Amino acid sequence: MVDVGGVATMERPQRWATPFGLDVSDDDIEMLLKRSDIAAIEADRFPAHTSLEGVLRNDARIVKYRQGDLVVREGDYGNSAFLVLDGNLRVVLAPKLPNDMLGRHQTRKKGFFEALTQLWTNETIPEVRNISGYKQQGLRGSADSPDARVFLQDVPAVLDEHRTAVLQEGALFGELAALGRVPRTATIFSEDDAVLLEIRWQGLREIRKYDEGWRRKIDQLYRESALKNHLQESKMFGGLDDEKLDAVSNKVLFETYGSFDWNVSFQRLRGGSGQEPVLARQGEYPDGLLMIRAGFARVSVKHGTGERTITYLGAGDHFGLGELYAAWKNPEIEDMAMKTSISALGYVDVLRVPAPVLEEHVFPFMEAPATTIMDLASTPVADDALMEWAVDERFVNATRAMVIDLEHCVRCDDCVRACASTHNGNPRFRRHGKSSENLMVANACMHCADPVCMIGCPTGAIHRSVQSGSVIINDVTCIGCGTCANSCPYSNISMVAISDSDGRTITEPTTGKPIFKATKCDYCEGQPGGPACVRACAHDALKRVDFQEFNSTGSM
Amino acid sequence: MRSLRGYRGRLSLLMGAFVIAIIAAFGFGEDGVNGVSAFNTANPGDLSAAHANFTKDVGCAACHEAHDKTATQWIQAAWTPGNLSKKCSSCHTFDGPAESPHNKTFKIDGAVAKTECAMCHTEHKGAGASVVAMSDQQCHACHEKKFTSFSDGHPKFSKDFPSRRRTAILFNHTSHLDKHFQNKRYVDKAPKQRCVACHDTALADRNVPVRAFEKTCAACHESQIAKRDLQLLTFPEFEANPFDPAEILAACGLTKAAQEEVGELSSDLAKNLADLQDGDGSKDLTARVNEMKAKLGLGDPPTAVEEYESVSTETLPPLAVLLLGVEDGEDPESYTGPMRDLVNAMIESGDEAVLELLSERTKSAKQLLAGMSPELARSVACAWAGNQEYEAPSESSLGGWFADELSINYRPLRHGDPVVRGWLDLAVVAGTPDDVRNLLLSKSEGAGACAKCHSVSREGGADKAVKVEWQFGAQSDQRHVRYQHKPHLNLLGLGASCETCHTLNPDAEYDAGFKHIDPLNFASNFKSIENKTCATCHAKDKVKQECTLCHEYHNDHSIRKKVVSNIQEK
Amino acid sequence: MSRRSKLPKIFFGLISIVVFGALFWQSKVIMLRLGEPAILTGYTLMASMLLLGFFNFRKKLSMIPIGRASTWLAFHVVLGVFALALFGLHVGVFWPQGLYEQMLAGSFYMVSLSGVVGYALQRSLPRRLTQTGVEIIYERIPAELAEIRERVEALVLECTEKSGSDTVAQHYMGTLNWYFQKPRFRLSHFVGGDAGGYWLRGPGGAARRYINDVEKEYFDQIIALAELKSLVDRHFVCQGVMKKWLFLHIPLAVAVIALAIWHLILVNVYVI
Repeated sequence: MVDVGGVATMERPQRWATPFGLDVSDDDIEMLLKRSDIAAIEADRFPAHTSLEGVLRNDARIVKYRQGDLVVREGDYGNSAFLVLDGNLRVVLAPKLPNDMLGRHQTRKKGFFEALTQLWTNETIPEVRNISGYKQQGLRGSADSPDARVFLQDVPAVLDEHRTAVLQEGALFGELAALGRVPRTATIFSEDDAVLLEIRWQGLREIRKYDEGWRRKIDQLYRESALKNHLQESKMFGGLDDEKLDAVSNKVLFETYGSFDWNVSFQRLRGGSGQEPVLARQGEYPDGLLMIRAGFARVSVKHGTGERTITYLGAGDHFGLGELYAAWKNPEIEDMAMKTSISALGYVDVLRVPAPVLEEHVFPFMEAPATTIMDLASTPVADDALMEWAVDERFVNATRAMVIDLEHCVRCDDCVRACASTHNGNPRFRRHGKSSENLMVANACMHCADPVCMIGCPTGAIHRSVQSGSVIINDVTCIGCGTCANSCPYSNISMVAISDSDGRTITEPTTGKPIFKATKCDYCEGQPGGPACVRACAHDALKRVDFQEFNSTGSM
Repeated sequence: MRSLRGYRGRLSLLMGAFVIAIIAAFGFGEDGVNGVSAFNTANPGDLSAAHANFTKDVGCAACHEAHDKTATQWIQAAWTPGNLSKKCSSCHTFDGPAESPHNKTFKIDGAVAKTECAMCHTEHKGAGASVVAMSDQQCHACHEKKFTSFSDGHPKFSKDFPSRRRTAILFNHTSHLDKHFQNKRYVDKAPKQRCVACHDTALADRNVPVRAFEKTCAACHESQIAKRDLQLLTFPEFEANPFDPAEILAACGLTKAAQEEVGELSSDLAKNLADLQDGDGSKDLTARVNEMKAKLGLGDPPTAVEEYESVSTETLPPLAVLLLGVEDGEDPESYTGPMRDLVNAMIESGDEAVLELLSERTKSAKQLLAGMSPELARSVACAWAGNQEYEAPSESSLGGWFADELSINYRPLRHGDPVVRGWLDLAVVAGTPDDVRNLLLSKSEGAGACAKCHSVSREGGADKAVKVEWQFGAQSDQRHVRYQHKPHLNLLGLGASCETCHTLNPDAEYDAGFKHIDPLNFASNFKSIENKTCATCHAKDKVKQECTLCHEYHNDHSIRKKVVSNIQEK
Repeated sequence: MSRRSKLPKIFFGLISIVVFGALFWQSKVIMLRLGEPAILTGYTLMASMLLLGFFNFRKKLSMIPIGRASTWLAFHVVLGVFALALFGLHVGVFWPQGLYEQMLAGSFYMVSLSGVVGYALQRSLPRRLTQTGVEIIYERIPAELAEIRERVEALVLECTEKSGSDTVAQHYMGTLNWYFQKPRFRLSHFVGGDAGGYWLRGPGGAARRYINDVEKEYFDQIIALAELKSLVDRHFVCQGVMKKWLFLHIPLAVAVIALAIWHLILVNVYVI
């Protein structure tokens, strides 16, 4: 769309303007504060503007689960941790629960002829659903109810067939996924009726920050379960033995910058990039290596009156190695200050490895880094336009962005029709979107590296496909709450009113409201031959692009 | 609202339907004006002018069998091979098979076992298009010796080209042009224009024909014709008189001699009568009567036999031998009977008798005896029967049949006399005895001298006919080679230019080629014409030189005539 | 930035050159055997045309993996050129004799020509569209133009109200209204000219010298919208052309294939 003039403005959003749970009563707060595990928190260490009570009232909620309800699913992204207040939960150890039990889409690759049948079986009416299929799934609640969730229909059978562990009252879980923005590592369901305190990441961060006990507890858990694995996978620390790794991991600091909900503020404040939290600033002395664990960070250098983006870093990248190595190698040089700044693009989770650790365990065993990040700044500014744009628009998040070369695109819409032909007659993207020079990123799901859409899905209907890594929505368990569509900073998820094969809108029997479903590009999950849009483009104008690679190669 | 694509799809369907409608409307339509409608989808273009009327009555079916057939036959036709050649050969017929290369059964090398007309001839290329225009490549399709063009790679012309045999007339060009007329006697008759003095360029075609004998050779050679008499019959010697004098007398009456005798006798008689009256001649009257009877030939036979002495000492000439079918013309015992019968028959019916005998030999008997008068035959026969020499009424004959004392002869009236030709032709037919032939063709005497110039030839083995070459004839019987003198004469200038191509070869043993009857064993008066002679002009970027300029595919010069007659028959 | 792969075109191009060379040679061989090379070339041409036609059905079969459409396009383009050459080899002359054959040849040439022109348009117009800096979906254009017109008319009214002068309104009624009614200067947009801008700087902006500062503020906004409309017009024209050339190409192709099938039947029934 053409957009001329008119800049939207609004007040900066305040903490707790939108509480996590609406129904945390005074009685509940009183009850919570009496519990031993919460009473152990040193409430007086909290500052006045973020009191513990405030945190509990606004950043937490009490959730009741019935027998069989799934609390968290392995692979889910979540931004909250849970404290068991009452009842027993079960952690599924092995074998893992099948996808359909988790309310996920069971994808099966279509055969050639099965795919061909779509030629005549596709509906001409938009968004037709066969509602009889919906009844199979154990699904509680609807779009309006806060406790909509998928449940296991036969708990004893699950307990029979799967090895599980019990989580009893007082157990805390989910904090790693919440703080580290990593997928949940296990599936947990309610063995019988249970009451849980769900604390969102903001509250969790406050508690960790002000309470020594919780910090130690969380950090300990983190170091034990996740950090060592992460270090081992990295190039620098992969070769260390267990003992040394323990020593390193004990010294590594982990930090989170920016807002977990960056997508919300990004949507509201499109274009403003001046407020990014800075991890390390140009001109300062480096005190440690920054390893990006999740999220994205921008590396920039002062240029004129502004900051010139040199590159951006994603999970697995690190920052500052060159400067630290040079300082260690040639202690006599004076200019040891950092030549670039690094700031969080919305949200970034980093490990800070102190310089002495590197000097002891890493530098003596490695060769000098071949290139420094500054080499990237030697190119003309014009060459960076595309990257600046991609970073500004947060397309860096994309693993499969639909990029259309407008100089080749003849606007025939064959891609749209191809999409419709593989999605029961409904195109799952719009051939329109933001463009820079000749490149347009169409409104198609980018299958983000950091899929904010998946956070908060009450039923786990939107999930990352284990087979393909695509972010897909299980139409059966989608309750049409719109959480994902609202979360997507790129407006690539559409809520559609479904209808039956006669074209009648399907409505809720009691209220008469239409039933909605979230829809988006599924990267032709289950279709043979990959995304139909790419195959359908006769002019090689449409590509699905991983911006991480796109940026490094500079071409499609 | 329909999308653009929707309209496009609908338009495509409409277009398809439109085409199908056109096909439905014109694809099976009736044959229109002049047989075929231009809108007929099966009409791939106008026929050439020559064939344009074919479709008038039956339309396309004139050539295409499938046309206007039932649906099943029509569909069947799609799976059966076409047979257009058959249709062509209903008008175009050839000496050989229509579907063989060059209408002849050549040794087939496998590549082209059967030819179809449509292999070379293409129709439906418009009224003005030529159906017979061919490219050299089409010839090279079969011919194993491939070459670029006439001027580049054409096989060498045969030896002595264009002569493939000796000339029909023994006419030594070298001596006539460069020798005979050196003689002062003939120098005024010398052909000043050389070749064209005899060869009539006005009639130039494949050959340039020679003007008539009278206008050419006659100037020197005419006198040689008249002396060449043909002897048909002689009165041979008999050992005894085979004739019955009484019968002869009855049939012929008195011979001239007898009449004179009668005159004498009558005066004798008168004298004797007077003597008798006077009584003077009373003596020996009986002896006197007997004497008179003897003078009249009425004498006593017994004394006559002893007295017979043949007036002739001739034998039978070969023609007579042939005519009478006797074994030996020199043995009186052999010929006496037939000769007597013939003479008697001649007395009876004049020349008819000879005709009757000759008819047993040849169909053109009448022609062979043309101009022989019945009277002559009879007179001669009567004289001979009376054992007397025939006395011709007048000595000089301009020509034609005449008789002298003991023979019947023919003297040619002029050059090309049909009677002499007829007899000479008779001489060469199979079955003619050698001596007869030798006599007839004897160059030294008699009519055989024709063969001095007109060669006698037999092409091929002994079973082939021998013929006398009366006509100035075509040198080449190669029907697939075509050459026209006329355009070349006009191009090269008249007369003198003949020798541009036809160069005399003074060393050639020309005359030796006529000492036998094989016309292929010869030496030409001229040097061979070689490819390069033609290629001087017929070459790349010069005058055209495609195969069909000189070669005729169909081994038949009369194909066009045949088409006309075939059509007339229909 | 992105580059079309030339590989498929080179690949298919080489194959078709080889195939054409083989056909050409084989035709000569057949001709030298006094056979009919048109049978070989005809059936090959028929197959080529059906394959060319299949490109359109490929678009409807995007749900199955039968190669990328871009590969198919390369194949289509190369095969189109190949078919044109083969057509020449088959027919032998430019213009055949029979009326039906002339229809067939005429349609074939038109399909070929429209294909070449269409391909050229599809290679050149997108660049020009991109250079407008705006991007708009074709079906949205009428609504967009209406929206621009409404905004302009609102500005005109507001200007009249605010300034108390109707100079701008009169200019709008007399001149600019024509411009905003529908897409204008289509030919110029198609060939890449700037007749619209020229008009706006001339007659379109003629009233500027008669208006006061208040009016100028509105007038400038109107002209800005007019310039925007010019870009939208360009999209309308160029996108339209890129869609509509197929209106010639595809129906004619259907006609050619239908005509050719009948031609094939006739030849089999009547001649071979």
